[in-house]
Amino acid sequence: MKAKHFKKLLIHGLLLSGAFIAAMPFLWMITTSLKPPGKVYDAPLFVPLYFYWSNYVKAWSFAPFPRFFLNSAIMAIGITLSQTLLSALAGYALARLKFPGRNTLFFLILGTMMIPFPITLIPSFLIVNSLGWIDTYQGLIVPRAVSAFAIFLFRQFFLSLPRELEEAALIDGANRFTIFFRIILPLSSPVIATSAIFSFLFAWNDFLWPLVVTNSTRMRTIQVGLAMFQGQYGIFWTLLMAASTIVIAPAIIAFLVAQRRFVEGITTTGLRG
Amino acid sequence: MRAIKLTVLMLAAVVLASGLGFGEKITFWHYWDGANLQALQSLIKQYEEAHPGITIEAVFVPGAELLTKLQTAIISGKTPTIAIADLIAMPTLVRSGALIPLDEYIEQTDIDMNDFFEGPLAYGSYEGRFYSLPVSASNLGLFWNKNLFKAAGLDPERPPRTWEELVEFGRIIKEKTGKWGYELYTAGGEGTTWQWQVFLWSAGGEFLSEDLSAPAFNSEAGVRALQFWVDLIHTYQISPLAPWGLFGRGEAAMVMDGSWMTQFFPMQVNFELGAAPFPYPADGEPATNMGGEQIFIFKGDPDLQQVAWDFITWFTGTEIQVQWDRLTGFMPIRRSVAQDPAYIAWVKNARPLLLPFVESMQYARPRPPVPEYPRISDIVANYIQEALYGRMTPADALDKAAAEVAQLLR
Repeated sequence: MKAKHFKKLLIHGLLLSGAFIAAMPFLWMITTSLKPPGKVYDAPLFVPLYFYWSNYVKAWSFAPFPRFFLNSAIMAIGITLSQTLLSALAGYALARLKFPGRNTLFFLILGTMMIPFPITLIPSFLIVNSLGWIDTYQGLIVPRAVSAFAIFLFRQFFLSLPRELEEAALIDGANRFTIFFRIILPLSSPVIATSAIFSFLFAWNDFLWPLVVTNSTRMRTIQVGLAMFQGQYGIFWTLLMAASTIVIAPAIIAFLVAQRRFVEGITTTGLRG
Repeated sequence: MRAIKLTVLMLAAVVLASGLGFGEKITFWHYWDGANLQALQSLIKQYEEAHPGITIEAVFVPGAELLTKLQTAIISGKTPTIAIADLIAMPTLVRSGALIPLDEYIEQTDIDMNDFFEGPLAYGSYEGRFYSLPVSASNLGLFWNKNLFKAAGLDPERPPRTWEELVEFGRIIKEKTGKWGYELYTAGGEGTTWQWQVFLWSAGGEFLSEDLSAPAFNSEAGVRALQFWVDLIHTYQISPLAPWGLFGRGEAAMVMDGSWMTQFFPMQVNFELGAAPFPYPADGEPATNMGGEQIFIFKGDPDLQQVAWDFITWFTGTEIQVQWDRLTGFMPIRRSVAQDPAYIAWVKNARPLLLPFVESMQYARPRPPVPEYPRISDIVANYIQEALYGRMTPADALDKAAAEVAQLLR
């Protein structure tokens, strides 16, 4: 009995210290965001002792953040929806349809993941510019509407689904689209959730592309807004951390919501364990 | 009847609109944030009120990305009307061919170019023409922690004036308080290079040859300056090889930092702060490095260029510059500002920490205005680090750096 208690205590201790390490940057951020400017470097770093809520007010009024939030939300949701749908379609085709050059095409798609973004920055910008999409939502969304990584994710997941399900549907007279939308997608909530989390976080945190394709303050996104606190001449730590706390909240909420779906997905498909 | 009324109304509207209709808008890209941004916004408002019909749309671009953003804009022809850039980005921008020369405008408006300090002006001229004007300046000096000086039994009001005193004070502080004497910027990049240039110049050295065609830092003075850094770390052991920021946390008693920190340090630190011109060798000369921004006009609509030029002459004029420097803490770009009684009174009363920087402006030297400068700076910083980490002797490190730089400039 005692040994059991001890084991439990040990496990909880380990889990708690792991959780603390994971939460540390966030605690530090929140603590700093509530400090008066002169105390930024003073202990304690992880427990707020000061409560300068005015930092949040100041940070919020530093730039047109409501507009930045709206822009980021439109961009992130647009990218998440299109990346998930288009990558799922592509992943399904690469996993199930037989056509010449399928594997070559798949490796080409994977290959694009090895090209660093700065190399394609200028050409992408020129294309978007010639389409007249500078300072528009389509300029922010369309160039990132598919993701090689998400295609890879979906393809690998679809390969793991039993073919028999689809064959049964085929015999019942379903066509490929019916199979995809009625059979495959409902079984795919774990991979949809995973892909959506990645897409949303990528879009929400993206900095360089939104900066390059927007020229006016009214089309800027929140990450560009955050850069206003990290100037050439110094960093406004307390304001930067206050703004970061505000900015990170939707990402955390999105993650928590998707995470529940994620777990549900695993339990309801009945394909695991 | 109704149709006539409508026509009259529409006519009136058209007349009204064309009467007010010199509604011209220029866009202005910059990276000023915080107090600087607020100052800019209030000045623009002031300008717009004095010039009805003209709108100046100021767009913030993060400083680290401004050059990338300007370059993509130049390629696609989507440039703003005007922009600012850091001094060292200017040679690249001027050579891009996207800026208009300002000489004709300067002649028309009869601007006294001799009123500008020479240092910043060097960045805007290329092949005998001016492509930009300075709008702000900054320089480097010594900050010290008066509390640590007191704790070490030193006179808290007496900063070191020479390298020898810097070492002496640093050793006393290290011995008595256990804190570092002097914080060096050892993290590499331009931060390391531009601090080291101050040591190089005050030891009597030059960074590049006079015609900017070859390296000159691998001289006796260069070796002396680098040896001094190595000694600070390894011989006197008063400077650490550590990430930047110890001074702000009270872990180091002295540091070289910029005039802009007279605005930031007081908000960040919880000790009493002093500022002074940077120490130089007893047998050397005072020197400091210069930073700042330039303003320029992109090729485009000639009417807008004229509007832009009017704004620039207004912005760089003495009266507005006095306001600008008082709001931002930037250094004067014009002699008439540095000598302006209102400006001097403001520094003395409101920002006494800035006084030594204003005085040092006469010793401030520009970094060489060559487009290769960012790469040269990286090379030099890398070899400085080699010497600081004891992997090369200072003379070896500088010779190797010079060989690479020479190849780049050829």
